[in-house]
Amino acid sequence: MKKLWIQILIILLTSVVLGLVYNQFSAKPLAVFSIYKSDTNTDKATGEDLTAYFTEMDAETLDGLRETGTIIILDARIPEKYGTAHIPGAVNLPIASFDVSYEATAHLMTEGKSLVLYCIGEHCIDSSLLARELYKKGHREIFVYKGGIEEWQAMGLPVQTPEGIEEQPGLQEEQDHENHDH
Amino acid sequence: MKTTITNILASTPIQWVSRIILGGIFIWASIDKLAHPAAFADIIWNYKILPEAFIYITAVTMPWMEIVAGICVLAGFMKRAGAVILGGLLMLFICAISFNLARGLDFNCGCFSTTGQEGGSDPVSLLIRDILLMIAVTAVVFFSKQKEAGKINA
Repeated sequence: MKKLWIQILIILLTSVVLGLVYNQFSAKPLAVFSIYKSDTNTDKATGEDLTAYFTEMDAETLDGLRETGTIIILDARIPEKYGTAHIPGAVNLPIASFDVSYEATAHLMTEGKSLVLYCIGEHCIDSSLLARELYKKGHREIFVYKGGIEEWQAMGLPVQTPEGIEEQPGLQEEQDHENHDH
Repeated sequence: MKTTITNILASTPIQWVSRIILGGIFIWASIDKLAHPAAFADIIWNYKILPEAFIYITAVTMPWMEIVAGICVLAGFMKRAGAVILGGLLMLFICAISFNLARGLDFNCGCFSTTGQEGGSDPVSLLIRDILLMIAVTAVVFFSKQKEAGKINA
C-alpha cells in the first residue's frame, strides 16, 4: 500500500515538473501563478487579434434593434444550447460546424443588414471566432454582443425557449425590487 | 458469482482492454490540451468550480497528469498508481459535470478538444462515459494486483 502511494506521488510530481518546464519553454507560456483573466479577443491557437473583425454591441442597443429588421442575430453556440434558450429571432450558426451552417443561413444575410453575434457570455470566444469566419466570407457590418445569453437572461430580456418566448425578471430588477421592499 | 466477476475483471484480456482503453483515451485527451493551454484554462474557468488563482496551474499540469499516468497504465509500469490517478481525475470530472448539470450551466466539456468542436458534449453522455471508464479503473486498480499475486485462477 505504501509503495502504491509513493508511486502515485512520483507520477504526480513528474507531471507537475513536466508541465511547468513545458509551459516555460512553450511559445506563449501561461503565467501559472497569476490570477486567471479571460481574453476573448485573441485566437488562442494562433495568437491572432480578432478585434479587427468586429465592433462590440451592448444589450440595450441590441434589444432596441432586434425588431427593426436591420440586423440578423446569430447564435454561435452548438444547436443543443441554442435549442434550450436563445435571443428571439436569433439564427443558429455554430462555429463548431461553420461551413455547413453558413451554407444553410447565408441567404438570410442580405446586403444592408448588420450581423450581431453572441455566444454564452463574456468569457466565451466563439462569437469572436465566428466574426472572423464571416469577415472572410465578405461580410463587413459585424457586431459582437459580448455579454451573450448569460447577461441577456440576467437582465430579464426575453428569450425564446421550446415553450415559447419567456421574459424572466432580471437580476437588476430583482435587486431593485428587494431594495424597494427594504 | 462474486468469484466469477472477480475472475472476469482479473482475466488477461479484460486487463489488457482496460489498460488500452484507459491509457489510450487519456493520452489522446491530453494532446489538444497540451497544444492549447490558454483555451483549456478558459474551459476550466467555465466549469466555475476552481478559484481563479488555480486555473492556470491546473491548465498547465493536468494534461501532463493524464499523459504520464496514461503511459504508465499502457506500459504496465506503475500501472496501478497510474490508474488511481486517472480514477481520481475521472471522479473530479464526474463531480464537476454533475455539479454543472444540477446548476443548469452552459459549458464546453473540453474533454478531447479545447475548441468545442467535439461530439458528445451532452452532460449526461459525458457522465455515462466517465462512469464506464471507472469500471476500467476498477479492473486495473483492484484486480491486476490479485492476478499478479496469483490469488485468482484466470
